[in-house]
Amino acid sequence: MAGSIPLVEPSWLEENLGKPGVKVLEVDYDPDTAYKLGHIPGARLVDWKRDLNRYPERDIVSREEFEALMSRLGVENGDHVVLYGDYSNWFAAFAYWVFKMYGHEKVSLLNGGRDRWIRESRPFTKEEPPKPEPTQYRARDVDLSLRAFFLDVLKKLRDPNVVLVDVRSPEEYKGLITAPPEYPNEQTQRAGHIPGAVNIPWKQAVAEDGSFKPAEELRRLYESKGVTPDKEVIVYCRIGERAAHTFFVLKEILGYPKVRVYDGSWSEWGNMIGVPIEKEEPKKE
Amino acid sequence: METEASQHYRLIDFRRVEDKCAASKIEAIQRYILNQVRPGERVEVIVAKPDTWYTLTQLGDALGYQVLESRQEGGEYRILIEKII
Repeated sequence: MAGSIPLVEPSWLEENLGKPGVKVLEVDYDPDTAYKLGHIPGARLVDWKRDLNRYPERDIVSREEFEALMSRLGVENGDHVVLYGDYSNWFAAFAYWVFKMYGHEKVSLLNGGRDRWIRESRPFTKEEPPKPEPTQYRARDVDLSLRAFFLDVLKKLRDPNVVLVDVRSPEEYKGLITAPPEYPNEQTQRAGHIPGAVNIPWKQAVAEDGSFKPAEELRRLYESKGVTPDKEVIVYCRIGERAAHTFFVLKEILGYPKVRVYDGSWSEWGNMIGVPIEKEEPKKE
Repeated sequence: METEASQHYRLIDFRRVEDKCAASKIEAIQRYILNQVRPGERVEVIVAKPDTWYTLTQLGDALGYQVLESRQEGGEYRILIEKII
């Protein structure tokens, strides 16, 4: 691990695979094109849609459901859990945020996720690990200081001590599109952004190989947009997974004390009636 | 050395969608690659992400194409495929 930052490098993980107390979980949005085709030896699958979200209502899993998931995956309370996954580690970062809300002490992200592991030609297998012995995992009460709901955001609009960070693409932020056409389930009635939010796309936090940029570079990036550690920071995207990626940067790499994910994000705000929206108006000819 | 892919095959650039295919990567591969290719035709697909490269090299049997060659060139991957059906 890099100092106190809960981030492990691929070399560290390869050396520690299979060691007692180290549990590797691959968190995928699309397991059919990721985990099921190949994964880190010994890693177990967390299916983001099925395992971390409730259904039919929209919410993260309850404490009891999280405990049952950990038990099924053979995770003990004292284990060091290493998370990685598809889509640039977005969903692994979301899982990281859920782990922290339920009080798991030792959880890390694999720096660079699947992309970097594959690029570096590290061991990969299609073989699923044997089913683990169920554990008696106990989660803590959910820590809602890490999560913002719609009304929290509404009440904080224009509060000078609060900064909203929109990590979507500039096209979404400006209101030129509601969501890219590839995301039919995430379209909204309105386009734009939450008033006062600054746009810092998630991708600006990572290098070419998908690993996080150095902390000093990240600090300059966020501070240059007014995202400073003295403020309460609320991050959002469209459904919360890219926001969780930026949450990790601000909370864990830069050590900002007050960072929350608004996981309702634009797919909630852009569908609500009567809420204020800012957008870039088309230029008049 | 002359490789299969160094001959001139039609290029399909998958880089602009590989970060955006969250609805289903398989659907995106079918829509943006396989639906553009005739059975028996060979095309060269360019991707930027190692994970996408890996996925494409593994799904041939399931989606009806054969991977003839794949190589890394600078920061991108090039995969020569032939559509079977």
